[in-house]
Amino acid sequence: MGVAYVITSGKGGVGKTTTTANLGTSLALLGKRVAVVDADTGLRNLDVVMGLENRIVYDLVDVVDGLCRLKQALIRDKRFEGLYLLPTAQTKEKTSVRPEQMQKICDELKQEFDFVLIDCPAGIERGFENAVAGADKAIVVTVPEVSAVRDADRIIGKLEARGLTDHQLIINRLKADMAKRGDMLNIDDMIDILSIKLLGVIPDDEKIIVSTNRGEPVVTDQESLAGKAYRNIARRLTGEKVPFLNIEDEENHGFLKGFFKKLFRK
Amino acid sequence: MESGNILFKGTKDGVIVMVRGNSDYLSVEQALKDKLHKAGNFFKGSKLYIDFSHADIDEEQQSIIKNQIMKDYCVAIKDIDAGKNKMFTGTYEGRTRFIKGTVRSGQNIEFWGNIVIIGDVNAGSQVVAGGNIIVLGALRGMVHAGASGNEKGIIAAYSLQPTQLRIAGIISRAPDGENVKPKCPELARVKDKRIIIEPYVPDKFYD
Repeated sequence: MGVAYVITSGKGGVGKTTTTANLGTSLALLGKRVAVVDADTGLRNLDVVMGLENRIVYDLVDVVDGLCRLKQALIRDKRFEGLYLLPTAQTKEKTSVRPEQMQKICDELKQEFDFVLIDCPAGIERGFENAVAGADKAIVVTVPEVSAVRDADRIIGKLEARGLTDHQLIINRLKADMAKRGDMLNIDDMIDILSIKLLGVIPDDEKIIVSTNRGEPVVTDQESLAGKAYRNIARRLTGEKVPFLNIEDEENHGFLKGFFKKLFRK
Repeated sequence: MESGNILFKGTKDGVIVMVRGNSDYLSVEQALKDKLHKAGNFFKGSKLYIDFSHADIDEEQQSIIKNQIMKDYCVAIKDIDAGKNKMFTGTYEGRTRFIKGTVRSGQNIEFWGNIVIIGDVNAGSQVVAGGNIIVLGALRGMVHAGASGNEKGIIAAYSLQPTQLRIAGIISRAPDGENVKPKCPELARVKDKRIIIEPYVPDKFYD
């Protein structure tokens, strides 16, 4: 019996979908059986980020409506053993699915998979209700901005009201130099405000944009610092103890490496 | 007419039902039902004012009780806002609600007496009390003490950095610009119709 995680944030555009795709891929690379579920009906993206858009035949809403079996809607990612995507419909609305139906689907998926990762839509309405209905644990994603932290706080309150008290935080898109100068919220401040366990910190990385546009998860890029951070988080989810990356040092290190590379190329 | 912790009072507007004591809502509901059942058709079609201000029952449970009674006994239930009409005077000694855990953005906590929060009050949340508000943690949200008009209400927190402070009818807000984290616990109270904030020193607070 697996565990279902909902990946949520309240605010849009902080990296829920990217996080879902990359954690799903990393966990699959660690040999786990993983199902990633897109709960953002009407504004689906997870399929695009994972590069599986053109393989969608059936979706979550079809399963709910009884047009197909759950197995038929699951798309196997051929690049990674054990990774499956349950896409949702782009032409329907959030109200096409009810929380109890979502819960049933998650329960079914948990029989089959070690990890079920649910990509939650932004907002606190029906889409959120659906996404959290079947989840056992939550991963809250935020970025070092006051508005995102505020929304994360609201979401944590909502999760707790639903009895989802096992929640952890991912701080995304941290710019180490800015945080050091005090121009950005620092990690300790955010943990202090949200009073929540830290799961990991993802440094700001341009490679993420390239990889999401291409539909190739960044975790496959051994050079990328963000990829490394995601891989570490995945290992933490499997129960392994992995020390936090020192983003500052790594960035400098990365910079130097790039510098030497350039030097040698010449 | 008294039955356990339920008291019926007849007035010219209708019947006031006072619920008292700390009993849980199921037993209050049962006691009410027993009482009304015994009275037979006597209350049918009459107006009942149920006063929960002396009981420890939250709003959700209050409405469950009201709905049940309304359905089962064909009576009209009216709201009695004892707290709103009457100023809460128990800032020295009075009913207090304790809240354990962080009050997060979007949460709204209201109580007609005093409130003590063992945890933080985050920005975007709202805490309204008829009496004092004490926060054993950081206070970053909007709090309203003495909400029913008592200017003796105080607000104290380990780290007082609210978006807005209100005591009775007086409103004050954080100064614009960089917000500085206070280095010691602070206490806000009304002096000469203005809210003043002073560092909390155990001997300093006289009222």
